[in-house]
Amino acid sequence: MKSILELNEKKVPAVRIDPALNKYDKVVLFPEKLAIANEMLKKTNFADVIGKKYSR
Amino acid sequence: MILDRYEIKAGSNLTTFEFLSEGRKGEIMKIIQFQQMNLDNLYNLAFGDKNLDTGTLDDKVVTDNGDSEKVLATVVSAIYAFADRYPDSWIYATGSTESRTRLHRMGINKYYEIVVLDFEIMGEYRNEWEGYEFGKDYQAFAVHRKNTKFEI
Repeated sequence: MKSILELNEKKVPAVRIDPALNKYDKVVLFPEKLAIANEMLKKTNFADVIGKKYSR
Repeated sequence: MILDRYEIKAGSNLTTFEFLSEGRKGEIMKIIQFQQMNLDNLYNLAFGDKNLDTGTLDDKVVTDNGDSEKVLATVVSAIYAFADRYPDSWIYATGSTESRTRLHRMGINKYYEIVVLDFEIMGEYRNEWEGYEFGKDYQAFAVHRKNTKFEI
């Protein structure tokens, strides 16, 4: 069992689970931002750098 | 070193987080979502304000609640939480405006010595991705939890 000191030193925070936020599981918040990110991604060599292939 | 940060709550799958910013403009709900992109295990970090009255979201608003460092530390903690659950994931981030991208860069520089212990950090410069270097005007950033099978 972790001591209080060990828990306080963790970088991974203690996250309270709120089931009310599950409604966003299948909802893309800020869809414009995601679209822009995907467009930017297409123009770059990210997939090559990390050795993956586009899958979607 | 543990940074001052807000308490965060999340949905069961830890892809959407919320926290309450408290400052000179009062209480403002912040929402963070890690969004699957068009590449396996790559997630876009989206962040903005949630209007508590209407439920509408805005990622372009300049809240100016006087707690930007605490907000940044809280976003970093959400990244840790998400990456802890999804250790193979890459987290991608870019600003919705040039000034926000610059803020992202400043944030990474500020916490670089802490974050680099736990994450691979990459930056996009002129459509090319590379290991993150100080002083470069990156357009986007990506981080990946260390101690997994991936190594640059």
